Amino acid sequence: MILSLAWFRRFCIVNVPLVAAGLLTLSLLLILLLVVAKGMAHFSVKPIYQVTHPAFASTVLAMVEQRGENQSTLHWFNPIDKELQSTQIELVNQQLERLPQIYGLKTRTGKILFARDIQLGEKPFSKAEWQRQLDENKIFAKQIEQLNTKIYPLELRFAQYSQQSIPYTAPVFARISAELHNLHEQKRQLHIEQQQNQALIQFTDDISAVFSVSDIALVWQPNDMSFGDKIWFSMGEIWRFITSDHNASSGSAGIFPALFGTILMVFLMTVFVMPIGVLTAIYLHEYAPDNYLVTGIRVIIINLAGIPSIVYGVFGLGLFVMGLGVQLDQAFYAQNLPSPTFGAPGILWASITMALLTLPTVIVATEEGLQQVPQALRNGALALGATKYEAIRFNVLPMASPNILTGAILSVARAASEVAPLLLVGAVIYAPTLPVDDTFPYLHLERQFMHLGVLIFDSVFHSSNTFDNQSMMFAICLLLIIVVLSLNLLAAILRAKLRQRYERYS
Amino acid sequence: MVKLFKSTRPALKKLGAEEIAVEISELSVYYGKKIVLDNISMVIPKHRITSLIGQSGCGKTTLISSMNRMNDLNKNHRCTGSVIIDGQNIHNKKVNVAKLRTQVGMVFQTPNPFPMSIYDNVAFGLRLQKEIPRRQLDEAVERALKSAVLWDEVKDQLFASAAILSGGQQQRLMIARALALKPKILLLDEPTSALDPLATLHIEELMQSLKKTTTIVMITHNMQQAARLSDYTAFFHQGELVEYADSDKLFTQPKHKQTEDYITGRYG
Repeated sequence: MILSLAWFRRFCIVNVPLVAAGLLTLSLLLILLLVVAKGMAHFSVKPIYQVTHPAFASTVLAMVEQRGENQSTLHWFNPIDKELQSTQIELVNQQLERLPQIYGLKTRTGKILFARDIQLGEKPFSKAEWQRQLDENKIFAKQIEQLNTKIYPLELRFAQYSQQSIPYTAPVFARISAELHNLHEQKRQLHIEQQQNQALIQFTDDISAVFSVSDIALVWQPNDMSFGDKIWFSMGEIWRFITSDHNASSGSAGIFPALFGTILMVFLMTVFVMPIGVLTAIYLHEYAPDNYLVTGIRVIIINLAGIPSIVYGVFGLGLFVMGLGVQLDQAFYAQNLPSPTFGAPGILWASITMALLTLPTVIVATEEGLQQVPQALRNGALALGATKYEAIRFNVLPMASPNILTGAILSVARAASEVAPLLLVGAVIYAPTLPVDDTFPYLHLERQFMHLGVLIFDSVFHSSNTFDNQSMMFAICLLLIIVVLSLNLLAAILRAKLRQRYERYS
Repeated sequence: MVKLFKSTRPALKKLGAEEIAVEISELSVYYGKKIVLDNISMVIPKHRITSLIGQSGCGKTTLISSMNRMNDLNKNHRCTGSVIIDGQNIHNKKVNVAKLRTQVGMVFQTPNPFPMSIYDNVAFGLRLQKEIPRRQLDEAVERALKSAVLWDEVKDQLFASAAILSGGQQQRLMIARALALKPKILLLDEPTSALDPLATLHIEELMQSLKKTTTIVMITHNMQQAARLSDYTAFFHQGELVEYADSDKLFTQPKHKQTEDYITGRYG
């Protein structure tokens, strides 16, 4: 023991860099492990217990979160309000009962319900029956839609005829109204049939409610799932988390708009920053004279990277939103005033602000790349009758491209993970619409957008009471890390390829 | 017997106007305050090989660089005097430098292939000039590679990266690259200094065959090479042209003591 300790001490002293690197890697891995574990817990299948406790008049259905010995947070379902509520109480195991048939339900609006039993019409709940009724409803909906396409032109004709002052006694009116009546009757029948596909949900022994089958999005029985079922359900949860709309009012929700907003903002930022940054670096390195002014500019650019990001946010708010945006509104969108178009925070200003923030990174990385290109290569091109521009365009830039990509990687990572300036210039906690949709001009740069980082920031301050909000925060963290890492990985692979191609020439 | 040694080349002073490729008169070049070339006047005969010899730093490279204005790249550079090619002083500000450099090709001491395929390396200069149909470009590349005696070695791997070639092949590629533009004058800055004897032989043979169509100016530190290859040889010392004559004459009966010392290796 003593021997091995002595050996370890000696090892540490001899291999200081190795030990330091090892510890650093270890702590990084631990952080990652924490985020992954906590984040993945968001998608796990949690059992629903039947709780008998003096704090409640009758038994309730609840998910239990352990907080130290005996102290637990109970997310219990209030059958009267049909809402989840959280309470901190002392629990002992005997008060929990894990009944196999308890159901968890999610409605289309994102509400979560716990139920003791579900009846589909006359039959007990089963996946197959539920699916059958859903399909049936879909068919009814389609038929109603078809009927609508018949009813609408008829009604239009009816309206036209009455405008043309044709007397109501005319036979054409009788014919049309008879036909309309017939169609409306059919439609009503279909509606009734659709309504018949109902689910009777039993919350407690004496409280129940009737839901239309189409209103229920998801049903699961957490206490009666095999391991495979749980994995499958978790994967479904992950998919729904990534792809479904965010709705702050209903607790658990998807984060697709935030994911989309983050990626779009980063993409726009790259579009703005790369050309400007690369051109600036080319000017500074290849064209600018070597004097104090240029040296000063270079020093200023390097120091710009050290300015706190919130200052950029304030700058963007002042210059772009309040300055440029208001001017734009007055010049081009005067008909919308006083409601602002570009004069309010939006994704355009956010991405331009982020582009400013990451500009120094790109310039410095690009200049470094240009420095590494051997002078002989430029001379070779010039000696073949290339102008300076052609030599840079065809020889120098391709050689510098790995470094330019490094700049892009760094700027993307910075922009995707920055929150503070975004809060000022366009990112919001909840945006009703995406910045991209199917109405002209498709890309709405003036709109506000949601951002993963901002969502994390928000959920930190509202995590105490809402259901599974804290684990959602970690899940978003995990997703943000994955987004940034995969963007980085993409660029890194590209860079490795380019390096391989050009390293033999330098 | 005497006739064997009699030179077939005209003496430098008797060259006719149409036999002169470059006429340099009173050229002085300064880098900052330092004088690199001091009042050089010389003519480069057409379709001949002219060697420039002398110690390192005596201004040979500066001289050939001033023939296609590669000197301009040095920001401290300043020059007086004139270099006349085709009746035009190329140091005139109105001269189109890019155009001039296509006429006066230059090959550097170390091969500097572009990060492209062999084909693209040779086609680089042509593509810059104008849009050329693919077939004509193919022909031009093949012609250039053939005249640089590289075609047989690379014809199967034209689209491979130029970096895979050996040093000698790369140097010939550099020459092919310059030849693709069909320059009137080819400036070679120690083209064989980094090559093995066989590759050197290849390049020397190449220069002999190029002589028919191109004026070649070459810098070399190899006296044997200058003697056997070049028609005329100029010896420089510390920015001054010491002696310039027919190679046979310069290497057998140098007029100046300095020249004799240098070529016999007793000096410098």
